[in-house]
Amino acid sequence: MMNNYIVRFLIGSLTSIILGLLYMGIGRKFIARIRRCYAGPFYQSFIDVIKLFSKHSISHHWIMDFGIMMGFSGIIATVIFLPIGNFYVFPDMKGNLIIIMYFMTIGYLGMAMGVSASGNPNSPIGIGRALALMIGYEIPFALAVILLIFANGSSLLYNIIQTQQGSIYNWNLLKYPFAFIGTIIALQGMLGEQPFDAMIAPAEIASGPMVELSGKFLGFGFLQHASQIFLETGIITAMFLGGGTIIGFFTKQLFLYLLTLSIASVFPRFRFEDGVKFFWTIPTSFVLFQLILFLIKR
Amino acid sequence: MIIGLLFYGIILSFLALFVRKKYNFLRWIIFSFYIFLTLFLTITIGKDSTYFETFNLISILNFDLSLNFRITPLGWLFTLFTTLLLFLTSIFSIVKNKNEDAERLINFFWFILIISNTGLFLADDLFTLFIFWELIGISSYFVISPGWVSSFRAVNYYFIFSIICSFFMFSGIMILYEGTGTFSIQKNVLYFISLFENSPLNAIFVAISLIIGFFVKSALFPFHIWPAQAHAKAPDDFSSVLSGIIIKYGLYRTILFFIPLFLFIKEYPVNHIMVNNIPLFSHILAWSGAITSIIATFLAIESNDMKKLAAYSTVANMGYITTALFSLSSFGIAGAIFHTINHAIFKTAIFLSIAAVKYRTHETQMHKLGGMAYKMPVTFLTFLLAIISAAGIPPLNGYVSKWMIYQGLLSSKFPFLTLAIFLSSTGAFMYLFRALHSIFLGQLPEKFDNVKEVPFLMQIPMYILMFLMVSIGIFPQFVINLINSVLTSYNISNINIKNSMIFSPLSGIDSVKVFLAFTGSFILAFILYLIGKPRKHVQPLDTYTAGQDPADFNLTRELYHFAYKFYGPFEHMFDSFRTDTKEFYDSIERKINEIGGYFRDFQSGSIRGTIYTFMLSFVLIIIYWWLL
Amino acid sequence: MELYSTKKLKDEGFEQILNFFRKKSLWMLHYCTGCGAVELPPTMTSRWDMERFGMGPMATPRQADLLLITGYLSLKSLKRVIYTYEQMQNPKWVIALGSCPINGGIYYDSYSVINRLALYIPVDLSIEGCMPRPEAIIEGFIKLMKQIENGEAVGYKKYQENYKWYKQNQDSVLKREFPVLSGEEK
Repeated sequence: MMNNYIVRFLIGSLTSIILGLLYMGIGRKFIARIRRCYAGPFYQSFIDVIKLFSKHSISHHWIMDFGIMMGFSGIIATVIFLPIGNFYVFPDMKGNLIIIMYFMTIGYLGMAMGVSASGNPNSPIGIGRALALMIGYEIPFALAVILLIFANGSSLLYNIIQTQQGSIYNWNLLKYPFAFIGTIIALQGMLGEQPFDAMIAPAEIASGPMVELSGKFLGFGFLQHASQIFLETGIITAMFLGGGTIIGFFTKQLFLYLLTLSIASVFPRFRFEDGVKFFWTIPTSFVLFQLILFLIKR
Repeated sequence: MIIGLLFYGIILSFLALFVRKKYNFLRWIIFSFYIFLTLFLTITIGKDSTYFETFNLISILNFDLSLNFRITPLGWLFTLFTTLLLFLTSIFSIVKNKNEDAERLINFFWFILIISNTGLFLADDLFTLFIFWELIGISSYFVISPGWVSSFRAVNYYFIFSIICSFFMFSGIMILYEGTGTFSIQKNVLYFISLFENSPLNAIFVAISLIIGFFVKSALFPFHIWPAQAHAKAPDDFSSVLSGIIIKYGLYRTILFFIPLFLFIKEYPVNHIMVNNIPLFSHILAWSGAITSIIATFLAIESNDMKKLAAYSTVANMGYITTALFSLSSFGIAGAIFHTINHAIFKTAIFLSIAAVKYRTHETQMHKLGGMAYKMPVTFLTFLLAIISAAGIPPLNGYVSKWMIYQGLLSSKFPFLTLAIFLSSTGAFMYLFRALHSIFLGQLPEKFDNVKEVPFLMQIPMYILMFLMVSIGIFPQFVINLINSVLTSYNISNINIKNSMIFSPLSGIDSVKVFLAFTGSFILAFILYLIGKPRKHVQPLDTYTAGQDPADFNLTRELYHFAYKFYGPFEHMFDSFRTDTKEFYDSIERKINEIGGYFRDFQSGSIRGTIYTFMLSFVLIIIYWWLL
Repeated sequence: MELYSTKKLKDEGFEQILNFFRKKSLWMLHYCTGCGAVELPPTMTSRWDMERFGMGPMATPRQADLLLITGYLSLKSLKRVIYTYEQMQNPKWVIALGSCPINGGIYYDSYSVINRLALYIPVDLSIEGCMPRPEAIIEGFIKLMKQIENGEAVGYKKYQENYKWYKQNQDSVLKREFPVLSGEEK
């Protein structure tokens, strides 16, 4: 039984890393095509990660090493609770939404702790922006989660997927379109794409949190971002696009990621407090409208 | 046994008064020993609810004043965890108070405090409850301000609020006594419920006078300001007691009175206004909890003093607990009690680590600190685990109770209360990380180069607290089983728990598996870390400075620490709101000053004025008596 | 000059396999004080599209593999370049653009501009021209990639091996004992 869990764990975590990197590579090609150029091959991200792990690196303190590892493992541990198609690592906890939302934060905390220990003031500036944006996008996202939990009477992603089976008309995307719009905007902030990329702003604060990361530490950052893409698109796929079998699930995830990137590639950057204001007004009112409609109908 | 315990406590407290000043630590060792004794006895007695004791104090004119003690599951649970945490704090205090002046009496008041703590939770009648309640108020008054000017203002704040609270409580108790003729809590609660059926107006008056004490003591909105004053200015080791334990007394009393009442109304909702299947009054209380948590969260984000930040965090947590408690579902109540315990544990840990930092650096402004983790690793780890727990992040203890709170709120369908909790717990992550960064990470200022880790005796409570946080996070069933017995005593359906798997109406979690998932991921991360090329250590100032050598422009580590106005632009978003609130409070303060000034003139002017005041109040009391 | 070692420092074994990945993902930090910087934006963006080779600009020296010196270097900026180069992590490479870092270019007789960059930090590849066109720059990058693949681009090892020699050269210009215009210069 223990072996069984270890195998499942490895399948879950490695799938998320590999597919996340693949999505990143495809995404880079996609953006390049929008800009009418070609970019590297689709497996470019794998090359980058291997190269980063083959470089020497520096660290300012053991807390930095520990924090970066904790950040990576936090995201991986969250992916374990995500349904991957119809595959679950723990069959008795099929995608517990509240746990997923809270487990994600340990990844952020670990990363934030690691880069703060580097002592470069650019990193806490970036982290401060990221956390402030987080309090922004968490509101529409939490409202959407509450809506779906009420509608399904369960906080398991498994049950939310089950009620969407059958035909495309059962998808929550069509049942709750306004909630979907709000959540997509929140996803933009979660992934830190433009216009909500104030935390990494390379020209202003020298890529923010990553400023002191070198070699394998940056590699961990890459892997963390890859699993994060997998995780966050996965949550929204399960919530609104009906989950699906393995291939369908991955296709929907990729579609969501490319949608995010196509928004990102035509937008400039918000100041982060304006970003928070935006999140608290437009997407929140979309989801709130849907929630109120739902409550009235009930 | 309980009376004996309290009696020996009084004897020991006087004994400790006579210890020579040279052997200060001995006094605190006696104190720790006494708390250990209390803890030991609490565990040996067990949560057997038939245990009963009475001690006849005085009996005049049919007015039977006796101290009655009974062990209820709720009281026992509260006694257990408060005594345990007090014990840990007292170990910390042994070293901390070794070289402090004027602490002969403080020790005495600590003794009174711990005696009253036991007495309060095990009290069986309102009279006993009230006596110990007052003793706590008075003793903590003296402990907060041991003759320091800085904390004097804060302590007055605290004391005035305490007096208002006990005045209202006393009037509520007296009205109940008038109806029943006895002080017994069980009978009075039953009478209180029946009063709601028979004469609602009277009942609402009693309810309000009892609830005001709760609002004040537990610092709910609009009384959310005093902890920031009192907790921040109290002695460092006492802050943890104030924030972890004393703020919970109001909550305990509210559970005693209001949970049976609201559950009764929920079951027989005829003649009552119900909102979302719970009584309107309960709904209002739940919302006041939610508003408190949001306001306190934003105040905590703004505060630059680390003790103030922790105090506001306490207020925010009291907000969650209140919201969950008054959602009146079994998961809500259980989550509230569980979060009370968890909050006591992690807040003690936070305050003790802050106290440890202050013990070494004598500094509370966060932007003047920094990099303490490099010098004080144990303190850092305690603080780290405590904030992980406080932010409700798996796999530590905070997440189990927060998860239960969410299950309670979501399963009884409160969308906006849930949203408020979501908002304030994301905010909690913001201010907690800010504290972690500003105090422990970033650059270590040159002036703290010689700071060392605290003495081993001070580290012991930290190790125990870390152990508690981790083990409750992995095996919550031990605490939940205790809470289940509390729920049984209130006829609420139990939490369905099988080994470490908790089942709620919406989903289920297995905390062992949650922990294993994290451990597994960490092992994976560590393997990847070992695969990568080795890393080398560099100096703290060897960072990216756009090619400029720090030595060339006299950059010191102290200057290079980014902590002041950490969320500056974010705070600016609320500027207009903040001015409005401040003006509102200022105008209230002016009004109160005006009234106070009027009374002062009235009294000090002549003896005739005093007599008039006296007569006026006498007439008012008669009218009051008449009306009821 | 007598301290300079000419030992062969070729990459071998497992490093050769890693070099395959290293050459395909060169992240660069461009030190844009010289006029050569204007040639970089067209190289990076869609006209010449440097990203085809897996190259991209990076924000800090910690993340970068390749340091681009885009033109002349005054003494003041040489100091920054050395500081930045030492903050980069191994393996790392340096490309000098234009004629100024090779022989001083039009500033060859200036009191404040160095003539030959290779004396102070190891330059793996120089692209001549004033300024080199993007085609030439890309040609140079491909040449560097070939060098990396063959394990010959080992400037960073040379720097470690001959650190004393480089340090001596750096000090000789950065730590002058006489005022610059006094005429008593060595």
